[in-house]
Amino acid sequence: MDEDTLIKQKEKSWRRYDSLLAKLNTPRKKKLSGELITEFCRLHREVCSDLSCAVSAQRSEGVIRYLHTLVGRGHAQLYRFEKVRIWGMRQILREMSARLYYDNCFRLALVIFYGSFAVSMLLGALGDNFCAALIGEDATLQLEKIYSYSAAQRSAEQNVQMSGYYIQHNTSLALQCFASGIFLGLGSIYCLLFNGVVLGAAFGHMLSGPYNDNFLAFVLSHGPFELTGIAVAGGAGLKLGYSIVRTNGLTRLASLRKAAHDSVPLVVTTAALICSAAIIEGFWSPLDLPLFYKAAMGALCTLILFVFIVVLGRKYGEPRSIQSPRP
Amino acid sequence: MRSLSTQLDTTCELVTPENVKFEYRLAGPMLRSFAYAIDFLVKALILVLLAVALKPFGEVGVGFFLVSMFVIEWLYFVAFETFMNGQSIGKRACSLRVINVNGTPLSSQQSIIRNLLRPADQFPALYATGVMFMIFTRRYQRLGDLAANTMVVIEQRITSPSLSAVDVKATEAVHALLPRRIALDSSLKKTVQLYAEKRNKLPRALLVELVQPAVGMLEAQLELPTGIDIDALMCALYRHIYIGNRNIPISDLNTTHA
Repeated sequence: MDEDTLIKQKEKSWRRYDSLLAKLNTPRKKKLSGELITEFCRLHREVCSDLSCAVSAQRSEGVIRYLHTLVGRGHAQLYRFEKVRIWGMRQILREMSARLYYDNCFRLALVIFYGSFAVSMLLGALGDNFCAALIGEDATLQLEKIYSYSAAQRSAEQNVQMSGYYIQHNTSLALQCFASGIFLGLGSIYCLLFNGVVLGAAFGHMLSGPYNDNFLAFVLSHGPFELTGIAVAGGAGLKLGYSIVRTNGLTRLASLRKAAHDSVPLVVTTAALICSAAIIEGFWSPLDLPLFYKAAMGALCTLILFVFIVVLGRKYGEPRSIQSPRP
Repeated sequence: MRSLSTQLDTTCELVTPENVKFEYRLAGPMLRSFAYAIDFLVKALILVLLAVALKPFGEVGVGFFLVSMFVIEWLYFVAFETFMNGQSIGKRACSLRVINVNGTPLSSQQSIIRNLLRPADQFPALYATGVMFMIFTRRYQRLGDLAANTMVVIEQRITSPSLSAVDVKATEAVHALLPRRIALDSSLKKTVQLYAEKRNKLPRALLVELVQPAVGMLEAQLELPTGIDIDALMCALYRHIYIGNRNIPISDLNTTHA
């Protein structure tokens, strides 16, 4: 059979298939009737077999390419097995808390971040020029100026604005900290160290300075969520990088894929922590309350984190997908 | 092992559950950056419209603007790729689609992974890392694609199959010389076909030089006299094998099927 006859013979069903594909590529595919879908499936099988016949009979390039695109488009429509997992509350707690508690990378991230934070805070408090040397004279003066008056003088509108700013700025920063971990974890380590040292220096400088009351009243409440959020992101990033080094018998690429898949809940946790911190920072922290209430809020946040990570994590036990097979 | 042709042709072969092999054409850095530019403009447009809409609300408006900036920055691609089956607005405009490397549509989880890792691909600037990885991986995958196990393919919609145009008049003389039944072996048949396909795309002299070694074999197999014009011979053979013995003008053929 020559090409012309073949095209004449098959063209009708190819065209029909093409038009059904165009219909299926709209978001309103639920409105397609069962008959149309059955017809589509039948035509898909027909076009598939036409393609293999055309290839083995060495049909002309134009016909084969045409059939390739038809099958490709049909394949993308027919095989969709997206299952959107809507986790129950219990499962979210189980997934995330146990993953965090038993994750060595998260532990390392906590040590790096809070360790550098503590050292830098000490240096910032003891040495007068440490903070200025680190973040610059101007930034230090700016910092002092911000906390020279109580944040309670802010208006409600300003609170909304600052809250939005914290959500946008801090969460983006944490997500970047996670993403850069793919470079063998180096990006995450840099990010954790940088933020730990700079924040620590600022904390040390302010706490040893004249405006320590204002400063403490402002940062005490949202600090736990915000700082731990960054550590969680860094930990997830480290995990991503470490998966390339230690593969547990998988190929490096497969190991990376598995780690990336496992890290999605961690990133969601990070975003949730930092967004909550931003809302606290925007609305609660500027309130003109005695220091006791601010400290209580900070303690409550710390308690929530402790219960979430340690108590629930231990209760649910080591998650299977994290366990590494011992050689 | 990949054959040489798949390396050169930037296609990716898949086997469907129907047990049929088919190819996707992979999208390279250039096409993907066009799609990205369109998406970038769409995002910028949304933000400008939001800025105008939120202006009357003063500081509250600024707060909401910043939150939506964050949401658009991180969720624009995830939302579109999830609900439009692997296409964002820019990808749709350039007829690209993100799919799983096994050819199935991507899941929302994969979309989250490949878009969360964008900052790593953007490092240090202008997607330098991403482009590097695209150049050195076989499916043009950037880091996010590698981690999510996805690839970006070109999804063409060809409206009808077409045959290569051959000048009928010029082939008449040679056509008369050909035997009624022609059984060429597959590599010679492929040569004829590729010649006809590339005839109007490459310089004629270069093509003739390329098929020169095959001509001797053709002449021997078909018992033709030597010294036939190579171009006319190839066209006549193409016409004989694919279009049949009937004298249909090729221009007609294209219009009937367009």
